[in-house]
Amino acid sequence: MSETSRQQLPETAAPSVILDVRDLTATYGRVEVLHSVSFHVNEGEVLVVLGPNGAGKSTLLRALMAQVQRTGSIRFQGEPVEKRATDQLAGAGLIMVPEGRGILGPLSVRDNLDLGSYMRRDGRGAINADLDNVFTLFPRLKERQSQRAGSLSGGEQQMLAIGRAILGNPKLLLLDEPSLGLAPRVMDEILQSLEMLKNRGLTILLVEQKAPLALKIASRAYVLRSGHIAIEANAVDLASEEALAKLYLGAHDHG
Amino acid sequence: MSLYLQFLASGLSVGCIYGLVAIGFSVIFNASGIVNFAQGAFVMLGGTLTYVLYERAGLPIWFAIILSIFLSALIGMLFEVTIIRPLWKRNTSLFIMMLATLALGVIAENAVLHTVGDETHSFPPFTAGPPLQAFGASIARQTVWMAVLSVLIMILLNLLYKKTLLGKAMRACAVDRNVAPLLGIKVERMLTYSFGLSAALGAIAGILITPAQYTAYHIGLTFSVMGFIAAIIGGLGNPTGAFVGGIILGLLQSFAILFFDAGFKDVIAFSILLVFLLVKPSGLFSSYVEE
Repeated sequence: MSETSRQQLPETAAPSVILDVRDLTATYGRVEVLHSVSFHVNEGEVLVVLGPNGAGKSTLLRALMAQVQRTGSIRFQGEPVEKRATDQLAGAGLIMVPEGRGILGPLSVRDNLDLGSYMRRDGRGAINADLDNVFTLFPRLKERQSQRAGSLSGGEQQMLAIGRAILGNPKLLLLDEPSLGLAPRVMDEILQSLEMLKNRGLTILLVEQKAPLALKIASRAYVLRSGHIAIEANAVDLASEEALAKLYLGAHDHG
Repeated sequence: MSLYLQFLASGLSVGCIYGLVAIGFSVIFNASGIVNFAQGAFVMLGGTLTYVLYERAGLPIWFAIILSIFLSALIGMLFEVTIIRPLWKRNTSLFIMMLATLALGVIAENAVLHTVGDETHSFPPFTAGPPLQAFGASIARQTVWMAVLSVLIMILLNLLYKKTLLGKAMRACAVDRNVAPLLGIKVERMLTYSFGLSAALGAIAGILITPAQYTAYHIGLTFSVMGFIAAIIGGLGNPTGAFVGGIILGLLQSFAILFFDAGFKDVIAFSILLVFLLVKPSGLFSSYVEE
């Protein structure tokens, strides 16, 4: 997140597409979980993918990161990336905080953060600047640097996971269900930090089951249902109660 | 008193060698879950290659040593790239991959038998001179080298794992193979490094012990077995633990010889293996992979 590499776009600029996904289909073994999903993410926005449990939200992110078998076309910053392996995608700036956070428990908090910058080649200075940013965003991580990451609380682990992702200098941050297992108060804290990151110009693709939470910071939303995209809407249009009710009733329709 | 000291020194130094082999097991086990039964073959290769390069090719001893460590590491990495990786990509069971390592051991053994010969070989100790005298015990100079260099390598390895980004990345692969690529870590490359590192450790063990004993085409199996037992004692998932396991095994064997008879040293070793497998299969020290 070095200041030079991520400039805030002026409000008036036409949004440019950072991630363009067409006909993405993902399978586990012989079971197709995601059916020909197409969507895009605009530069600088927070896009949220909502949907009930089992709709394929996590699979969608895993498919983007080449962690499940998939077909379809994925363009990231204009380049086709569907043939790239997970570590190459991460190197290109597509950084995911996986479901369950993916903290390396036996390693220290600092080791986890250091590994976040593993693939960076832009020098110690930029990395240290980002580390300072992460410590400003999450002061508790600084206090607990030398602690075993596995000994952190759930909220702190989520902060560590996001901090570690930031140290990878993401162009697009993928977040899988950050609210999972967190108390509402803690989740508010996480949301605030995401808001701050958004204000600094970071593009975020957030997958969330708890729609009201996610819509607080999102600009646009897709609703995923049984592996299909059911709704695309601006976040404000979904934020009303009826709209949300419809969203969940819709979920029942498809059982 | 001096007799005990003598056996203590010999147990410690042989234990350090077992320890190095055990670390080799642990390095690969951590990276992949594979128990590399070719580990002992690299002990044999390290000693044998140094002998060949020094005695037969006439290279200076230090150069022969470095070259054979390097060559062993290369063989280890080649084995990973050509044999283990294709099996890995096919999601072959760990058991099959372990069988492949066993096959590598047998191939190395036979290659040496037919090219170098079936006799035992050695080369001079690192420093010439009479044994050192301490408290009435006489301790060979090579024994001191074995202990000091092994401990040094143990320390260096700890620094690698704890202080360098590469070492941390290797640990990350051991902890969670699905998360590591998300950080941009190439898991397969780390596995290659692990095989190279492990082979180098085996070779160093062989080079250290050959002047004190000898090397021959068939010594690999013994070292595989003893290194494995040491790793089980200390905990397969913990390199430092594995090294300490080696020292414990070396000392127990040494005193088994002193108190009973030389024939008892393997009885002791295998009895310990059985006891640990039954009572504490995770070893004395916890794995750094465990939560």
